[in-house]
Amino acid sequence: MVHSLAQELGKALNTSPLAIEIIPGNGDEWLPEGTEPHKRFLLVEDNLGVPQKVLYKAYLEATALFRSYRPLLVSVSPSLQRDSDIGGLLHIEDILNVSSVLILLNPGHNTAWNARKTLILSGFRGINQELALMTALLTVHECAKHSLLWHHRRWLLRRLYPLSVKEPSALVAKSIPNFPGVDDEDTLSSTNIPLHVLEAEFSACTLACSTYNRNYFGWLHRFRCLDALASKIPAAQMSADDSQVAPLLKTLQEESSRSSRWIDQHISDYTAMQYQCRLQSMLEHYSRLVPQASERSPGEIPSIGIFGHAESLVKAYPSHEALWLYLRGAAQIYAKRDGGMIQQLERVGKDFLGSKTRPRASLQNGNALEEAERHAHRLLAWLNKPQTRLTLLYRTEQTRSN
Amino acid sequence: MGAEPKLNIPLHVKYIQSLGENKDDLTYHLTAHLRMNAVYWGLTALYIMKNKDALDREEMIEYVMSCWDEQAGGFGAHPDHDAHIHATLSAIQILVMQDALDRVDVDRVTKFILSLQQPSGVFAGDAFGEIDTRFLYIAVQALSLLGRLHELDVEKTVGYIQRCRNFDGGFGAIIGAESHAAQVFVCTAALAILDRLDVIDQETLAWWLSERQLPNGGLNGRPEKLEDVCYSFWVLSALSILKKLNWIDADKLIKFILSAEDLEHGGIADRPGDQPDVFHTQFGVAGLSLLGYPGLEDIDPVYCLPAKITEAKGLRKDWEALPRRV
Repeated sequence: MVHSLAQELGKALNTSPLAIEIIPGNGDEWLPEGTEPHKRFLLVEDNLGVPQKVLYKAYLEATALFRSYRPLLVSVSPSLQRDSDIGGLLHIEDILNVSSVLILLNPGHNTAWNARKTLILSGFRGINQELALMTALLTVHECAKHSLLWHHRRWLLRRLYPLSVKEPSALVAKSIPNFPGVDDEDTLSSTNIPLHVLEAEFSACTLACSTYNRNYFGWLHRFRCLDALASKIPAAQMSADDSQVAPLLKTLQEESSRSSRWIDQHISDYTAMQYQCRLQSMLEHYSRLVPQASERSPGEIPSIGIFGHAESLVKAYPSHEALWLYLRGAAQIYAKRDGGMIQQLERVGKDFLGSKTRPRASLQNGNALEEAERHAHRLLAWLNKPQTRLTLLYRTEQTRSN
Repeated sequence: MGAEPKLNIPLHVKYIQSLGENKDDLTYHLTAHLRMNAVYWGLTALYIMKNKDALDREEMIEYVMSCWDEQAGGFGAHPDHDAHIHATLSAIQILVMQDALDRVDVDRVTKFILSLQQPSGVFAGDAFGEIDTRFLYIAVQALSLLGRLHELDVEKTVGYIQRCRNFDGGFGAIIGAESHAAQVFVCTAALAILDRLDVIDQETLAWWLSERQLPNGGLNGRPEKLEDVCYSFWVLSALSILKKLNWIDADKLIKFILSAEDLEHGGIADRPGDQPDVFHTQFGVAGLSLLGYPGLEDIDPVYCLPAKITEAKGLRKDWEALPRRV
């Protein structure tokens, strides 16, 4: 039987390699001489290398094959007998193979993702196998950032770990007023997803953000995992076994440390800083509502951490807008219990413009000082905005009244 | 405008006409999942540049109808693609601009769109359930254009947008997502259609939007991202709906958009020197229209359709663009 390049490459993808690299050129420099046209890629020790021009050729083949096999999907779901039509089954494998090629080069191909979901629902593709492919695709620049890939990942996780209540977050939302969690259909909270799986998801997010910086949907997925982690705490707290809470809080704390380290190394990544602010809000929430958190480990939950973190980074790298906005975000979290945040923010802005830290900015590139001054002025102007003052003060008053 | 560069309308019209001529190349296949949207972008750009008849009307309508998915009751982006709410809105917008909405089975499309609303209030893109405030906006606009907005659960829909609001006044793709200028546009425009702009902290949001302008005049979509021509529409449309378009430096932005024109082959790119595409051409032209650039038609920032169209349908909301320069 003659196999096409698209089918062979798809088959290699569906073995779930650990990493995938798309390499410029056509592979002449590194593929063995005489390599057959339909095998012009390398799979070595679970690492798949695909020459870019070969991938282009495979994509064109995959497009035509997918178009011809797609009508079969209508009959697949949900009742196709796996042993009833051998010819049909062969084509189902073909659909899995060619759709892998389509999403590798074009993760926006909605119809290819839908085909894979249809086959998973019909039992023709294992969920764990598919999750492994999703992780491998996180090593590919265009895939690592794509919303459809991340949606597919959560869709798979929800099939492995179904919701433990009928409505997302219902348990949590009812048990804790103002819980900062999510309650929509793409949630992972209120599922029985185990802690070690969530930790693996955090690692997957780190991998994706290393592949593609400022990864909007990567950090969003991380937040959804964080939300899932936090949603476990009330139930653990209510259980008779007190030891169930500690590992959850420990993971939250570790996640906070990881996030801080990431920001230290990626000082333009405002997406990560927003995540850190949300994480801090959760820690603040549990430091008040879960007695064990404060009793057991007063030092484990960072209480003043991120405002100081943001301020130190602003002083070190004042030309970075993201850090000044990080400072604003952090201030709004602490405004809930610290009425002096307006003054603290004013101090940072005025200190900079008063030249205490300006020399550092001038050491960077030519425009850095000008940029840093603009950010400092913007901070002060933002602070003078009635709505800002109202927000910061209102939160303080609201907290006091509680 | 003096000796400043000018929008080369004839060249951009020619560029849009040339798109899709080669249906065998890789680029065509790589963008097939956006084909319906691309037709909408091209037609809208032509309309705003006062060349709405530069593409064949009948051929365009036939293409749209060839993407009808009888099983789903919606449109796909390409004849062999699944129905999706995004392609469905583009199809409706094209047919509205071509005065051919009578070709649509309004009952079925309405049913398809409403079936995608989730219990939380957000909309999914298709039956497999990716959710996003983009899809919520698309549903609201499509129902409005079809005259079926009264069938929408407005409170549930607005409630989801409210839960996407961030401390900086902006909105993200779903609850918990970072503020993003494109998501700000969809949430603001959806609220404008639903007459619920009261949900927005308008001053804080306009502040965040105006901070998207960089020293080179261009706008970015998130802090410390590169400037990109398409945000000329996403940011400006939201500011226009909030009547705060004068919060950004219009002259510098006009200069930036024009610097991204490809004066050899036509079209506008994301930023100077890059490859142009129809998406950035449309949103560059739309941004220029909102900024009052001379010789263009008004674009409605709520619907991203020619203002003449929305006015004729009685859908105009209370937005403000900059006065048209002469």
